[in-house]
Amino acid sequence: MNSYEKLLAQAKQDGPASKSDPGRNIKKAVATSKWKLILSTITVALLIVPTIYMLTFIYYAFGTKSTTLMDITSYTMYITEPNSTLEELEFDMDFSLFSMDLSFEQFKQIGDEVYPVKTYDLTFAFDELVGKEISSRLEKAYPKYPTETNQWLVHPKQVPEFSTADESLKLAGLPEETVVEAYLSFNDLYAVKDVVKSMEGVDVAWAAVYTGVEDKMLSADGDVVSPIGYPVQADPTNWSPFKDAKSHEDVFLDMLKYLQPYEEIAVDVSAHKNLELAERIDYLEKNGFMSYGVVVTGPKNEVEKLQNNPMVRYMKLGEVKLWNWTR
Amino acid sequence: MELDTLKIRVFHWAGWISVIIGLFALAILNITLLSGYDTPFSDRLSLFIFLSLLFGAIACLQRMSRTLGLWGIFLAFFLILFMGVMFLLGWFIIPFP
Repeated sequence: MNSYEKLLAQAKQDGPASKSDPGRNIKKAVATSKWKLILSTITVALLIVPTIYMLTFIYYAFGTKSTTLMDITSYTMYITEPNSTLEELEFDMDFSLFSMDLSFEQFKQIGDEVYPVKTYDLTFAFDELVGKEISSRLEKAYPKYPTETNQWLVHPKQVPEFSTADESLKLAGLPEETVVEAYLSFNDLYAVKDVVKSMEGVDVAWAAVYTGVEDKMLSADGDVVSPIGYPVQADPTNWSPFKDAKSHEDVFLDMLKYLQPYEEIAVDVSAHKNLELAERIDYLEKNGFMSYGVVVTGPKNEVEKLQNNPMVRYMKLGEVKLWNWTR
Repeated sequence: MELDTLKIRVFHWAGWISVIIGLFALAILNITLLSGYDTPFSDRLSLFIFLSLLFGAIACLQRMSRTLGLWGIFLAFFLILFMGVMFLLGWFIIPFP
């Protein structure tokens, strides 16, 4: 037997063994493919959430910016909520799939100190407000659903629903060691600087500005509008849009103009309020800034004296706190 | 012949390990994002990325296991991209310290 025949004989001998190899290889290939398919499916599934997160971050960085939504919210609070301030470090932002949660505290100056009064939890899906939770610690809650007559600050041509006589009695019944917040409506329109000059002994915290619609509290379209105004006291906090402002009136107008393109969001944030910004900005630019009411805060006795101020027509008592006046 | 088979197996296993570590890291990231809580492994994400890259690179040295190696490297790079995007854009969208 030559070597070739030997090789053939050997191959014949190994025959059955070599027949089984393809089967094993096929099984192995099938198993490998199966695992590759399973793992590639898992890969695609696991890539979805992080990819959406990245898109969400990209949207809030370059689309409608998260800081824009925050500014809209804070500006809306400053101009629609009488005697209201916010603090930067009290803001909390949280991002989830295509949405952003914004939580913050709202503060009020009562007497000489600033107190947290409301906690807001807002949820935006892209730039649309889809969730709003407000927990309030206020003892005197401002009317939740504004009508033409239920405002606490009213134009000289308006008659409020509350009775100033009742409010005066409530104020008179308070201990002298208290500080109060009061909503004063005037018998005419006044410049804010004249109002501040005539009200010594208290802080004028917020001024409601006449924008051409407050005599009826209806816009040109017939929608009920709410008072808008601006904080009068100097605000040194870095966060405040009024920091180092020479004229709060100019800042107020700038804020209205900033909010105008985002009016829908601002209205959602400020609940049950029609802002009608275009109409009001137009009026302010043509006629300037005159106030028909202010929010003041200070010692109870000093606020009581203001009822004799010839400017004051109506008074509504707001929050009351124990003495904290240090001036 | 035997040595070649062993080599192929080693490279194949390196590829599989790279993919599995990458997927594990990705799963941890998903859990963290969806639950809002850090898992015990969350702070070791960079270690997983490194291991996935290392094993992926080893697997790429052999033609038969290159697909697995590239798969693992893709997962590692995706995680690096995610962390980079989150870190950089975080500065833009969250204006607080």
